[in-house]
Amino acid sequence: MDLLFDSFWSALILLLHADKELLEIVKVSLTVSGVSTLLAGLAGVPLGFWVAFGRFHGRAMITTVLHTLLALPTVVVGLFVYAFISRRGILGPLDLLYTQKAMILGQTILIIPVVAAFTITAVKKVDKRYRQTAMTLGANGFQTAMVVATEARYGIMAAITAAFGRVIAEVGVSMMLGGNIKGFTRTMTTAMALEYDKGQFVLAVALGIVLLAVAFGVNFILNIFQARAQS
Amino acid sequence: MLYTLNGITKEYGNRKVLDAESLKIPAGKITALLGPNGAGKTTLLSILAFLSYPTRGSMTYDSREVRFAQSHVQPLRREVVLINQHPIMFSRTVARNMEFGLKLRGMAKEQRETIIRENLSLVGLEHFAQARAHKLSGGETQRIAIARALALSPKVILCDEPLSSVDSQNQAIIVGLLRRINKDRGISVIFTSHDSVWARSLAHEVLYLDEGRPVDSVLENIFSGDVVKNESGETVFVSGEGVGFPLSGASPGPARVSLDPSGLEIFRPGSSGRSPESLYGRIHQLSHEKKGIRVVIDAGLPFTVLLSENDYKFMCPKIGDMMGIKITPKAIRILGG
Repeated sequence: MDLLFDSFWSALILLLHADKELLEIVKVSLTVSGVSTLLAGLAGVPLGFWVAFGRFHGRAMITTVLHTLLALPTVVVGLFVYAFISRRGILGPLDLLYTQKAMILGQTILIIPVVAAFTITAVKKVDKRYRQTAMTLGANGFQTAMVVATEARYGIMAAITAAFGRVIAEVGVSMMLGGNIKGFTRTMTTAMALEYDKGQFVLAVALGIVLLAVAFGVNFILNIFQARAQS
Repeated sequence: MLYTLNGITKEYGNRKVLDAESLKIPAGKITALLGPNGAGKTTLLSILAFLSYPTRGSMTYDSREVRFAQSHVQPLRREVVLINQHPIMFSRTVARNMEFGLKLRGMAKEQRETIIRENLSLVGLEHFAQARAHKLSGGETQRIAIARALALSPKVILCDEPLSSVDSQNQAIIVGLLRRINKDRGISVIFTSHDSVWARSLAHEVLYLDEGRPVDSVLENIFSGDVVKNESGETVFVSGEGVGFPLSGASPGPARVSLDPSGLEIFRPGSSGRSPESLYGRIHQLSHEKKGIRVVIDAGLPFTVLLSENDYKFMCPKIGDMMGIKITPKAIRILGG
């Protein structure tokens, strides 16, 4: 227990002094996860909307696949993207491996199913009368879709928030595609894994505190959206 | 004619919910679509609003042939507004709800504000402009939905059971509103109802639907239950609510029966009309219509009886009076199990 308490106090001091290395790691984490979430939102929300709103064969199958992908292990995504961007891969010439771009690519693939699946749920929850009302008031297909999206807004925001929560805490993709390069691709989770390997817990605990604070913030926002969606 | 329907059907899988061989709805009038629950009224209304397409058949609207394709019905939808049985408001203010359709029509802000003010005033809710639309009561929501529809200056307003979910005070307001918008603005009003009393009092034209088909007159006093043999071996019908009456000639088992209001007789308890099979209840509604006096008696179930003017003058029934109902064989129609 002494080890844990000593590490905890040292970590707090590190945080209070705004340690440069710690801030750098937090910045990389937030940047990579933030951009991944943005890109996944841009792809996943329209995808989820299309599946929920569209009338075509194979909708149920797409939904099943998306739900299956929710449980996708991060190392599988890491391996999959690695096969494409490694030197021998078809995207090898782009020289993406061990860059933040590679991490963003992997994380985006990881959370598109999260955003899409939760968006489908949010859109399907919207009362069918909204659609009918918009149409009878003169809206075309796109305008009707926008009405439904507006009514599902809290659910969609919750989907994006949940996706951010998933990537900020993942380690597989970041480690395999980012390489844990100090000051460049080192994120909170990969740094914690490294510090643990080195047997140095102070920075790991400090990063753990930051990660918990971020997770708390994400869940706090998620709860607000969910409460509004239900009201 | 506003609408002419020829051979219009609507099927969901193998189930045919609408089968209108020929149906005409006049322009500029208030038309009631009467029928029991499940008669296909809402389905028909949805087709008249161009929101759902029929499985088969053809239709003209305002002397124009309707082609059920998105590009063709989109402009027609801008002339017809459907108000749901339980209208839904966007999660915005009342004013934002009302300006939705106006914005879609590219109307300038000042003009939108004037129209919103005028129509809120018409429904008596002018001070509700900035209220959250989700927080309104059922009656207020129904009135705002009418104002939202009127703001678009439609040629036709379709109302699905407009009075079913509102209190009596709002019912009177809505009936008055529907009359005014038809009379003052010349808007054709088509509404569905399963309550024939008030529907007949409001509508210029009444159309009847039963099991998806237009019929000459609406079936009333429809009850579901079982045909059973009683202790004396007579065949009787017992409704799900436990109200029974003789039903000779029917086979035992589940049944649905309709009683023709003009085939029912009423009498005061103790008078000569009394018989062991009679039902008793208090009058809770009286209304005058072209065919006579409509009397609704609560005898465990609401029974509607149509009296001739002479019978009414002779008996002078009043609200709250205890009356007996005699069901004559000619009034009974067995609809099936």
